[in-house]
Amino acid sequence: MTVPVSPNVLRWVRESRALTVEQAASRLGWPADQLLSLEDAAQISVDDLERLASKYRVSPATLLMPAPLPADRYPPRPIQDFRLHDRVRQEPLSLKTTLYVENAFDLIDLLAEVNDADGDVATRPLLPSFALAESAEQAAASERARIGVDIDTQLGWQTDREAFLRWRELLETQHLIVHKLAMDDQHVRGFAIFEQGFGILAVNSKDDARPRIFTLLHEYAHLLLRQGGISDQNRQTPIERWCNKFAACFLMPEGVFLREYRRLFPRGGVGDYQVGRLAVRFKVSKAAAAIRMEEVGLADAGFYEQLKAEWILPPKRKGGPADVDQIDIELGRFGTAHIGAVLEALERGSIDRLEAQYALDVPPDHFEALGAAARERHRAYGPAR
Amino acid sequence: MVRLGNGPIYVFDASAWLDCDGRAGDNRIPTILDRLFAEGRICHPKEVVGELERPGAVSDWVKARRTALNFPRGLPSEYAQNVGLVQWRYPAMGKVLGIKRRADPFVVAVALTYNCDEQPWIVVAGETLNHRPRRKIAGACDELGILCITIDQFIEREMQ
Repeated sequence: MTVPVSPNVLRWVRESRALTVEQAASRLGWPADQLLSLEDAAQISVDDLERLASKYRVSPATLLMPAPLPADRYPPRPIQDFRLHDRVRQEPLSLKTTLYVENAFDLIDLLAEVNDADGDVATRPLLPSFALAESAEQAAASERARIGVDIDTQLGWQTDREAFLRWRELLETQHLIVHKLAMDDQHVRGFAIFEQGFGILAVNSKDDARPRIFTLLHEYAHLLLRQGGISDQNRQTPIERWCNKFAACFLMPEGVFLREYRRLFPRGGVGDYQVGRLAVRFKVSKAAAAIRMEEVGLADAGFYEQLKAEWILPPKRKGGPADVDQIDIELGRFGTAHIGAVLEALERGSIDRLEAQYALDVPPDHFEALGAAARERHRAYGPAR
Repeated sequence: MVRLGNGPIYVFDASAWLDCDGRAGDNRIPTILDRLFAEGRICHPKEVVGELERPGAVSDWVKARRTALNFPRGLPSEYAQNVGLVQWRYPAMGKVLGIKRRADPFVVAVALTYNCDEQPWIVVAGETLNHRPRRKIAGACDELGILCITIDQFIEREMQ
């Protein structure tokens, strides 16, 4: 059985997924010639339609459209790509990460539409904004004071996981949506989107908790600049440098960092051991601690680069523990702000259960448990009232 | 022209099935569904089943009859064209570049393809025009001249 298709649509969908002919053909398991001839055909088999839909991760309905959507009816969602590893522009984003970004924009569209229709069901964050010309260090100090976490509280957090959850909750309490997603792209640490007054930031679940904490604050800095994008935290682009500096100053304020260094190492010393201890103390990656040592004058310029060459990074974990159930997985992925906003919209009748199912990725009979788990997470790790 | 049983044909969206599940105490629903099923007057496109992930009384009723309820069989050309047309006209409803396969454009396309004066095809959806019509089945049906009703309206019609 065959169905009519528009060649322009098949090409448009492939390009929307940022796939070249070769990449798409490889995903499909077809020779490139076969895909090209299919993209020129007016009829394709139902089997091919299903295969294309499955590999491009779209509905078959999209492939059956009579024409591509004009940009004004489905505006492209451009996201700046700040990745520049070792001064080399990176490959296009993986399909998986592209879809995470697409989903984040979809969620913002949903919340904005709900607010337009029913008033302020979803709360928009009240974030200050900063310009690139402003001092990242001062911005970090003022944000730290505004959010209200004192340094003793931070240093008292027992584990890396606890520190991550505490920082995450602090941002989510400000109505920022924080996602933790498994991104496969080499060097992608996270992304940030600020659209229609809503802010979403995402960190890579494949990173360990301490680097993830730094990414969380780095992406937060992107939101403060109103310069969302994909980050690799390189030190070569001005925005990435500003965000790195903000995160470092936020997590390791200079005075406290120097005080802790002197307390831990009264006889001084600068090397891998000191970096490791400080990283554990402040719950940041060794890279972040080493760079901070340079910035505050404890180490010479080039210290981090020298150490980096010596470090053999541990293999990334492939996933979470096996006994984690679906509620925990979704709570980890979407966080309390996302879950709270969607369940609030459902409760107020602004969205139906099917829409909530799509937005939360769990069937409706899990909503109650997911909501309870989010509230419990907030009680356990959110700021004290 | 396709003709199932005599009388209007109801095309169910997943949101309508989920609405039924939320009314487990309403014993009119299984009675009506059993009758309409026996008369061949109730159907949904196969994509709807994919959206019924949760266990529930009506969802289980649907899943037990999934092959019998699925309509149309295969992907007839006119229906396929209408699926594409609905997706194109209502991109927010069908999530044009989203990951999940929303059944909405398939539901609307079934009614659009087979609705006729002799036998109306009516969409049943657990939603109304009140909220965000451009994103909703009810809004698309309204513009395309297809009757779209809620579960309450469905029960009222079939209890007469």
